[in-house]
Amino acid sequence: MYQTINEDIAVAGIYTSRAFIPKKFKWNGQVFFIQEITLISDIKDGSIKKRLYSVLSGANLYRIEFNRDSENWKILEVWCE
Amino acid sequence: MSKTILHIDINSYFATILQQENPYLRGKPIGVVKDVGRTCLIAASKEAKQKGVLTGERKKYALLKCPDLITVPATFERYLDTTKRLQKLFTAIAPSVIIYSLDEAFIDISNCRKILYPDSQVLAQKIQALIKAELGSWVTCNIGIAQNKLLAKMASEVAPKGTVSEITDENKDALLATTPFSDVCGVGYRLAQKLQQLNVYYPYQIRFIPEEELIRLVGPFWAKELIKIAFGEETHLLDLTNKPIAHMKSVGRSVTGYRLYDDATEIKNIIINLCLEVIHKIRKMKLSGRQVWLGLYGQELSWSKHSTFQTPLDTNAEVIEKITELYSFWGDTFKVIKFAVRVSLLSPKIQDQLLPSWQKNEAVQSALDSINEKYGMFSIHPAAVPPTKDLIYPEVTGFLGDKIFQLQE
Repeated sequence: MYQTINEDIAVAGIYTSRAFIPKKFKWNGQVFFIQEITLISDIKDGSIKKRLYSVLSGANLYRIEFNRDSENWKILEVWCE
Repeated sequence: MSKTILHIDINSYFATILQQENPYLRGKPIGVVKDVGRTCLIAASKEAKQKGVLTGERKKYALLKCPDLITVPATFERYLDTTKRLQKLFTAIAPSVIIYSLDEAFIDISNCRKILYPDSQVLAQKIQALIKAELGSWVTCNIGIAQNKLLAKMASEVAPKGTVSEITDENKDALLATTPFSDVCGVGYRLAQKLQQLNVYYPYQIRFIPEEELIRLVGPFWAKELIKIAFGEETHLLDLTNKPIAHMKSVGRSVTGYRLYDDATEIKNIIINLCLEVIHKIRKMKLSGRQVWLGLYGQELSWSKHSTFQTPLDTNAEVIEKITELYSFWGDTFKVIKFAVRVSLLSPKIQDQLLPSWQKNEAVQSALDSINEKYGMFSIHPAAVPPTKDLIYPEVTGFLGDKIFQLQE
């Protein structure tokens, strides 16, 4: 099941084909390398546009969110078996 | 010139998207619930379906058939985004695209067949590959190809998962003779039950029933429609999808609670919460309605009432006042599990308010709209709604009955 985290993170990535691809993120002082982006979704909360990424890092799946208005990154949830 | 229609149906959409997102769920039986704590399965993965789990089934019964079933909450906003991405992809293939539901679409390639797509099967396989490239390798779809939407949809319904099935004049009768009514678009459970009285289980059998007998059983409209289905011709329902709809005729919202409610304040707050969503939608579409309807459902009993007005309503204050009036007619005779509100007789808002009191109402509502538009739904709302943690937010349904609203941007 998904566990809610909802904390700010720092993300580094690359631009390719006019799109940003997150490659790693720093959460709680630890760096997590992203092996695969499994799903990307664009959503709107009022007029605030957000992009949701589901990413695999190590043996875990994380849902991270980019607020396109404030340009802030958040880790929303982690999948725990 | 005969038409060529492609029907694309994403396999087990809600569950497949969750499995695409989460590799740890792939290959496992999963049941999709609306939210954490819900017990009704709104979708099941193909692995769960193979073990007999049904869509709409209660979790406890599904677990009896499939003890290793994993329940995962749906992510409605992501499903809608995925559908929008599919819409973009399909529109790049041919201009005539009908999004039929959240996971189904028709593409009419009749006008681009000669030059662009001489081989429909090759195109269908290309679409399957494009969907995988856009959404991920786990997402598979069935594609039915036929001369009309009815046959294309039937073909994709009965084909094995992830395949392409083409219906021609040669295999059309075989399809009509072997497809049960449950897989025929437009034929519901009760109509199929009536046909069983005549020992009719497949569309092809209708050809042998005298029209008068059919009219006696199902009435003149359905008799005509069933005869069309028997010969694989386009039905009225699917024909309607070609006609552009100017605007929605009604907007409603219903929700089933986590428990039975008997506290009048709680019930009223949930109803107001639903009203806010309905008003948000009708105002976004620049419509106003002249009829409000309220429905309450208990475990066995139900109650509903509606009112029709001469002047159109489109603000929180007006609709909530009318709904509250309707509520006052309810006699608190049972505990409520399901709540529903609807504003209908919608028409485009063409005239500004004339009376000062109405103008004031409109000004307040416009200010509320601007704040919620900027900061998100329910950033500002009447005090009489459920607590923030229990607020009921908009969601999409698989049927996508409000597609005019959801796909308008």
